[in-house]
Amino acid sequence: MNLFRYAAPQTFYPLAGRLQPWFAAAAIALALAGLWVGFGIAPADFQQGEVYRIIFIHVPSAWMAMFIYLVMAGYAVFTLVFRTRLSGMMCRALAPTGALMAAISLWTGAIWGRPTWGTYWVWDARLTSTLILLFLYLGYLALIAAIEDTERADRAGALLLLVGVVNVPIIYFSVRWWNTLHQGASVSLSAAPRMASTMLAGMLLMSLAAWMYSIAAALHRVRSIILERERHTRWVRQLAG
Amino acid sequence: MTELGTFAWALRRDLRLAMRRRADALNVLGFFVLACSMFPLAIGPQREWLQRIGPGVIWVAALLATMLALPRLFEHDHADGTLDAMIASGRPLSLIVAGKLVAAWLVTALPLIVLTPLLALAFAMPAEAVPTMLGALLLGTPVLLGLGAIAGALTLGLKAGPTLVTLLCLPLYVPVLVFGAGAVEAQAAGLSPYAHLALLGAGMLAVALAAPPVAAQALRISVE
Amino acid sequence: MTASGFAGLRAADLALARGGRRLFAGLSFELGAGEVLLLVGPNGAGKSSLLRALLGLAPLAAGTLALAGETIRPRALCERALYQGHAAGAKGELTARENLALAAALDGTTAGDGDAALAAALDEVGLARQRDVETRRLSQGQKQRLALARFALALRARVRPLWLMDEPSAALDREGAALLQRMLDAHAAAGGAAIVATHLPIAPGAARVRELRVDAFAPRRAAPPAAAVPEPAGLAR
Repeated sequence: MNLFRYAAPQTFYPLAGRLQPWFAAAAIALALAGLWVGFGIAPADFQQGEVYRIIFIHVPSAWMAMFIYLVMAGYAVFTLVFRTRLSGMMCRALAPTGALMAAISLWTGAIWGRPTWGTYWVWDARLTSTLILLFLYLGYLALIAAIEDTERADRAGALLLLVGVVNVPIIYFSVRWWNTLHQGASVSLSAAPRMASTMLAGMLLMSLAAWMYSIAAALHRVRSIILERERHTRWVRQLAG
Repeated sequence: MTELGTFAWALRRDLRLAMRRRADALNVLGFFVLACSMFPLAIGPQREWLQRIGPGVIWVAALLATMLALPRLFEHDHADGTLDAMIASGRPLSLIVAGKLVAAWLVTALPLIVLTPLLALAFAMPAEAVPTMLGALLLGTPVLLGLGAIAGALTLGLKAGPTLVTLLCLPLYVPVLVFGAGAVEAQAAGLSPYAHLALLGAGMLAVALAAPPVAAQALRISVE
Repeated sequence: MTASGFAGLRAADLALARGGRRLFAGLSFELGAGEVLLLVGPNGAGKSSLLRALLGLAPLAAGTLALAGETIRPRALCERALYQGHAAGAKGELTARENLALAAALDGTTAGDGDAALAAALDEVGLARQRDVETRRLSQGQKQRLALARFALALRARVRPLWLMDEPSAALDREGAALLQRMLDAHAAAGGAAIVATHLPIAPGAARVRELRVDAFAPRRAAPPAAAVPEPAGLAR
C-alpha cells in the first residue's frame, strides 16, 4: 500500500472522513473512563482534598498543548522542505485545538489556584510557560490570518513554528530558572500531590482522551480546509454537485 | 565580491542610509529614555522601590525600543525594490542580512547601551551593578535584533506588520529578559552574574550564526 | 560559458500559480545569444511573474530550465542575470551616483576604475547633471534612466549576459526609448540576450527580436453556464 498517495488532498479527504468518527468515539469513551477514574475512583488527596481533581484536566491539556505544537513543527518541516500542500493544511487544522488546550490548561490552573492558594494566578513555572505557549499559538494564528497568499502563509507559518519549537525548551528552562530564583510566593501548581496509581491511571486516560479528541478535531477541520483550498479543482466541484 | 565583501557592502550601505535618516535613530533613543522615565513618575521616587525595579525597567524599555527599529530593517528595501535587486543579484542573502543586522545594532542598540549608565543613575543603581547591566545589554541586544529580524522578514509588506512583529517577538524574548535582568539582580543578591552572562553569550553566538540564514529564508518566503 | 557571451537558455513546460489561480502552464521558449525575447500579453497575464520565476523570486509550479544544455535551478540564473523590476530599485535618500555605485558593487560591474566608469554610465543615460541629486527628487523617467545605467555598466564590464527587464520603457520619453533600443542592440551585438516584458514595440536592430504571448499559455476557462444574461440589443455585433 503506497502511503504517499494520501499526501494528496484529494485522497486524504475521504480517508479523513472515514477515520474521524472512530477517533471521536475513542475520545468520548476514554474521557468517560478517565473522568470516572479521576472523579469517582481515585482517593481524595491528603493535603488538598477534592479540589486537586482538576489536575485530571489541567495536566493532560498542558501536555497536549505542548505535543500538538511539536506535531505542528513536524508538519512544518514538510511544508518548508518538500512544499507539500497537505502538511500546511494540517498545521492550520491543528493550531486552534492546540491553542484551546493551552487555554484550558490556564483556566483550570486558575480554578485550582483559587481555593488552594487564594489567588487565581500564580507565576509558577508551568503556568507561565503554558501562557507563553499560548502566545506562540496566537502568534502563528495571527500570522497566517494576516497573509492573503495561502502558500506564502503556509510557509511563513511553518518557519515561525520551527523557530518557536527551537525556542520552547529555552523558554521553559529560563522560566524555571526565573521561578526558582524568585521563591517568594513559593506556591507551585507543579508540586503535584504524590500520585497514587489510580491517579496516574486517570491522568493517562484523560491524556489519551485529549489526544483522540485533538486528532478527531484536526481531521474534521482539515476536511473543511481541503474543500476551501481545492475549490477550483474538478473533484471538489463534482462533490458539490 | 568575496563573502566578506558582501557583508561589508550591506553594512556600509545601511550605515550610510541611517546617517541620512537620523531622526529614526533619535526616535528609538527618545522612546527608551521616556519609557524609563515613566516608571518613577507612576510608582513614586522612593529609592528602595526604584532600585528594585531599575534593572527590569531598563531591560523592558530597551526591548521595546529595539522593536521599534525592526520594521525599518526590511520594509523600506521591500517598498523601493532594492530587496528584490539584492535577492536577484545572486549574492549570499544571509551575508547581506548579517550586514544589515550589525548596522542596525550599531545605530539602534549601541546608543541605548551608551545611555544606560545615566538611566542607572536615575534608578539609584549601585555602581558595581552598572558594568553587569552594560554587559548583559551588550550580549542580549543582538539576540533581540536577530529574532526580531526573523519576525520582521516573515511579516514583510503586511498591513498589520508592526503589531504582528510585537506579538511574534515577545514570547521569544522571554529568555533574554529573564537572564538579562536576572544577571543584575543576582549580583544585587550577592551571587555571581557570570552564569546569566554566559547564557546570554551563548544565545548571542547561536543567534549570530542562525538568525541571518533563517531571516534570509523568511525574506525569500515573503517575497515570492 | 564565457562571461561576455550567453550560452543559451531553454525553458520547458513552465507553470506558475498566483493566489490559487493558474497563470500559465506548458510555457516553453528558447533563447540564444544575440536574441531579445519580448513578453507580451494583457495586464495580469503573468509577464512579471515569469521574469521573477526565472530568478527564483516566484515559485514555479512545474517545468525545467536549462542553461547551455544543463538543467539548472532558477536561483543559479541569478549570477548571470541582471534584473530590473517594476520598482525603481534605488534608495530615495541617496544620490544617483551613490545608488549606482551600490548597484555596481552588488552586480560586480565596476572593477577598480570606479568613479570614471560610474560617471561615464550616467553620462550615457543622460543623467550627467543629476549625478549628485537625491534620487527621490528625480522624475519617474529619470529614475528609469538610472536603472538603465546599471545595464550600461554590466555591458561595459561584460558580466551578467542575460538581461531581464520588466517594462523598462514605462516612463521613458522618445530619447529614452531610443536609448533603450541602442542598449539592447549593443548588448545583443556583444553576444548577450534579453527577456523584456513590454507594451512598446522594440524594433529589430542588431538583435533578433521574437515575441512570446504569455496569455496564450493561460489555462482554458470552463464553458460559461447556459443561462447567461441576455445581451441588450444595442451591443449586437
